[in-house]
Formats: sequence, C-alpha cells, structure tokens
Amino acid sequence: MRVESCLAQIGNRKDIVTGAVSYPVYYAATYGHPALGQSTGFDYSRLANPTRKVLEEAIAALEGGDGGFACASGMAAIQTVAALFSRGDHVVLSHDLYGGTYRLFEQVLARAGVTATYVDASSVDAVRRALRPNTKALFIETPTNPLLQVADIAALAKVARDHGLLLIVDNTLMSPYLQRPLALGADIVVHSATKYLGGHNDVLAGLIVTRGEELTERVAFLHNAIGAVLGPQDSWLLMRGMKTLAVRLDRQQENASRIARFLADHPLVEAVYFPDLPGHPGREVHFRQAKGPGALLSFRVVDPALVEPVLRHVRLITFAESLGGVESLITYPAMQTHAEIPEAIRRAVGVDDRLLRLSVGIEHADDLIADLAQALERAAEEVGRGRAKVLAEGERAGAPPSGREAEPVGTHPCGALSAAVRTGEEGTR
Amino acid sequence: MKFATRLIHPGSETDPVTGAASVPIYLASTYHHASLDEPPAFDYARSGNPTRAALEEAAARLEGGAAAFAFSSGMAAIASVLMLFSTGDHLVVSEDVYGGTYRLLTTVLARLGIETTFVDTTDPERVAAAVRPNTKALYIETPSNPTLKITDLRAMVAIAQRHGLLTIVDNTFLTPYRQRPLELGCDIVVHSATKFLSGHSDVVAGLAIVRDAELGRRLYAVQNAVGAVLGVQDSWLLCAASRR
Repeated sequence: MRVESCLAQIGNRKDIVTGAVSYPVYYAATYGHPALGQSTGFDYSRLANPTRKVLEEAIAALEGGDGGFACASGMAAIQTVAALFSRGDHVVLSHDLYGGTYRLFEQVLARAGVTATYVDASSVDAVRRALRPNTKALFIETPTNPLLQVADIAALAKVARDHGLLLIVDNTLMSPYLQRPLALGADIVVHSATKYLGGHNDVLAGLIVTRGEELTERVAFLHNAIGAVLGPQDSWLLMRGMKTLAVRLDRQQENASRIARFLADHPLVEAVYFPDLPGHPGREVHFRQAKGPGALLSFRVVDPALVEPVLRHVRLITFAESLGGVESLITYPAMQTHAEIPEAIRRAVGVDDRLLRLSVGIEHADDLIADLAQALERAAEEVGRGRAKVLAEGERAGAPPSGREAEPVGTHPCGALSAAVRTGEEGTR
Repeated sequence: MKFATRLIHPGSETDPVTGAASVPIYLASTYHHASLDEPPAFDYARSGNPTRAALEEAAARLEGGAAAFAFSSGMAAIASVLMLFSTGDHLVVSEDVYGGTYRLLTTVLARLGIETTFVDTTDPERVAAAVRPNTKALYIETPSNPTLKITDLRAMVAIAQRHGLLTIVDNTFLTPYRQRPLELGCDIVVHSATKFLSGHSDVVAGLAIVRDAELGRRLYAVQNAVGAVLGVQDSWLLCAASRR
C-alpha cells in the first residue's frame, strides 16, 4: 500500500472492541493482571501504553523499521538513542546541526565521557577522515537545518557498515513521506515529531525507529529505563496530525518552491538555500534519496541591519522558533535555534547574522510572497532612513546609531478575512 | 497557609486574561516574538509551557523548594537528576531502592562512568563509611519500597554537609502532605507523580523539586537539553489531581 493510504489509516479499527475509527486515548497508568504470571501485554504505561503503541507501530511501518518508540520530545528521542553510547565512545555528527543536538552532546554527554566530532557530512571523505578507533556511530541530518546541506545516506551507510558503526539519521525535515533512511541502509531514524509529523504546532513529541531485532531490543530497554516516554493524549494528537502529512507536505513544498524562486530573484536577498533550486550543491544526491525538496528554506539578506525590521514587519508569517506546521514561521537561527553553537563554528558553517530561516506552511503562496515582499521593502526603507539619520546626527553629536522607528508592529492580517470572502475579493486564484 | 489550602490554591491557577479558575491547556509548541528585542515569556514548549509552569510552581510550593521540574515519568525525573553527575562521580544509594532506579544506575549510568554503592541507609554509620573522595550525593528512599524501612533524613543531611554532598530523596510514598525533605535540609526531592500525587492511576509523570535556585538553574539546563518533559495534558491532569 502507498504511504498516503497508510498515513490516513493510522489507528483506524485498531480498537477491536468497538471498531472506532479514531483510536481511544488510554489514560490508565497501570493494568490489571488476569492472574499471576499472566499479562494482557500492558503492565505499566511507561513500558507500554495502548495509544502510544498504535503510534509506535505506525511510525515503524512508515519508516520501514522493526521498532518504533515515542518520546516526550525530539531531544528526548535523541537522548534515548545517545544512551546506547558508553564512556570513551566517539560519535561523528553533521556540522550543520540542530543546536539542541549540539548542546546535548557538548553539555551533557561530554561530561559522561562521550566525545563528538562535527564534520561536513556532505563529504564522505570528511566523514571517513573523522573516524577514530573508538568511533561508534555517525549521526547526520539530511538535508541539514538550517542550510539544507545534503548527505548521501547510502554512501554513509556503506562507511558505517565497513567500520562497524551505527548510522543514525535525523529525518525530521523530510518525514517518511519524502525520505526513508532505513531503506538506504541507516540503522536508526529519529524525529522531532513536533515538526512535520505533528504538523500543527500543537504537540511536543519525538520518535525513534530502529532496524534489526538486537538494536530494537537495546533501544526498548533504554526507552523504558530512562522513561522519557510520550503521554497518551500527545500520542493521539500526533497520530491525528500524521493522517494529513502527505497533503500538508504536498502543499507546503509547492509553496516553498514558489517562495524560494521569489527570494532568489529578490535584490535584497544574496542567497537562498533550498534543495529544489537549480545549482543547489546537493540537489542530485537529494533527489536520488528523497521524493521532494521539503518545505524548509533559508535565505541570506544583503545587510544584517535588515534582519531585525524584517522580523518585526512580517504580518502573516509568525516570528517564532520551530518549523513544520501548517502556519508559516520565520526564525533567526544565529540567535534562536542555533544559539547554542559557538559563533566560530556557526559562521564557518554559514549560519551568520544575515541568515533567516523560513518554515513554509499551507497558506496561499501569493499571500506569503506578498508578506515577505512588504516586510523586505519596509525593512529596506527603515534601514535607509536609519542610515541617513545616523550620518546626519553622528556628524553633529556622535549620537548612537538607531535603526528603529517608533512604528506599530504589524497586526495579524486575517482579521479582515471574512469581509474579503463575503465580497468575493479572495477567490479563485 | 495550611497545607490543604496550598493544595487548592497553588499560586498561578487563575488565568490572568479570562479569570478561569483552572489553568488552560496550552498545546502550542511555539510562541510569537513581537521583535528580536522582545522574546516571549515562553518561546518553545520543551523550554517552557504555561500549563507545565503552573504545575511546577505548585510542586515547588508544596515541597517548599525554590524550583520544580515536571518530567514524562518518575524515571525520567530520576534520570534527569542523575544527569547532573559526570564520569568519575560516585553515589551512595539506599540498598532497597526502587527497581527502576537500580536498573538505571547499574546499566546506563554505570556505562557512563558514574559509580554507585548500595548501602543500608537506615544505619548512618554505614552511609558515612561508604563515602569516598569522589562521592557527590546520597540518594535515599524513605520509607523504602517495598519493605518500608526508615532512613533518618536529618542524619543523612549531617553526613552530606560534612562531605559537601547533595542529598536526594525519592518522596513518592509520602508526598509533601506527609514529609517535606527540603525542610529537613535535603537538596532535591524526586517523585513518581504517577502514584499518590496524581492518585487516580491515570497519568504517568515525574517531578523534581530543588531547595536552592542555583541547583534549579543546573537542573533546568538538563531538563531543557535532555527534553524528557511532561506533556501539557498530563501536566493539567496532575494539577487537577492534587486539587480533587
């Protein structure tokens, strides 16, 4: 069966008692035993919960793995997987990496004797050169966040096999609808399911999928021992979101491709990072292993002074961290999602003070483009005025520069929507 | 204020906008920033959530601590507290500690180079004798599970203070209604809130409460980095349970 059908059917008729189309939320912490030495399969909800189990089976099937594990957050999923390592172990990671993963390795695991090296994983040679006798795993994102660098999963799986390492892929940006790393030879997939899988910016969750019986058992042990499990209501909410993953992502990708082209042609934008753009360095590898570009893009404006006013002037797009939901969000990685990474490393990778990251939602592409256009235009006006003023005042009194104008922050534009719909203004485009 | 009153009025239970007497369930994973210079009070649900914050504030008040942290299970609370320690550190732990804690200490923590000595903590002399130069904490359950042995928490605090150790108490069995270890000088209280605190066999949750703000900052860093946080629906249920 195709992935769209599997997604829509998550949980349907899994409740054999009632035939409910939506699986119930089981709030029981514990379960009665029929007799000593007998179990219904559920003993204690940290170990297994019926609602969480339906979700775990669904993600395992979607990713083509042997075991699925739902965790309290994406970081809890990564931390649970990282508990496979012991003191003295070494891990090679993508250098363009989510800041939270970097923080976990540098601030928590380093204290426990687990070391890490960060490399450009789009170069198989760079990965190979970083290996040490005590290396136990490769941990990669592809495409990476926020620069959309592409790593060749199959080639890295071969490196991992040759050296007896685990290949762990953070598949958050693609989801199993677009990319299935286990089929390309990866051993473990992790997700911040808060992003595309949940898709509505309303649930915090992480998922792990493992390949192979022995590895599945080891992760199951850690999942229960550490106990960073996902609650039943959140499990249900995540399944509800996943049912529409394919339709959401189709629309989000279409919007993202249009926006990427708009930004690439914009005079205030120096560079756009998106796998679907011609000339994207990882384009060929990406489309060999994924069936779409995804809906996250980053762009570099020509002047760092534009960043602050652009973030203040977007009206439809929300200035907020996170990504993957139906609502479009814009972030400033250097100060937000990647603030944990030291400046020197960030800059070397390209996460500098001019880079903005856009998570494209399911709004109408024309509205999103219009919003970006007006925010860039107003930002440029402010920067121009600010510069002129600073020059004039600076010559007179040495006044500190001030690019901020006392101007009300843009109000949310959808207040006027119902009137527009009534008059047919919004319509058939 | 009497304990019963503190249970029903934990602090931030009234929604400031609507006046609702029960904290709303905030499902949002992220929050709008008005501008770069005006970050919102909550920016990302792992780092902070209003519903979870109401629960954490209530737990801190009930145990008499400076700060509290809610986790996805009792074991997630214990695992996160234990991640305060580093390779080469040593812990002295009650010998009949909960099996899940024993499992975590002897498998995951042992592999990360954090050592444990299990002793009969009902005897302070044995505890004192087990302390080594690299010992960082005493970890106590009292009454213990399942044999209900009693450890003298004041005596543990005296040993801990002599050697500069943290005293960590699993207070699952008594809850702050019947025992408040922080008031006796202990540093961290952990709970499987799945048990008496929620009391309805309907929510899996853990709590950790710390006596001083500096320890609170360290544990917050672990909670945010490791991310084993309690979901909002579960946070609300636990808030409601302690008032029902």
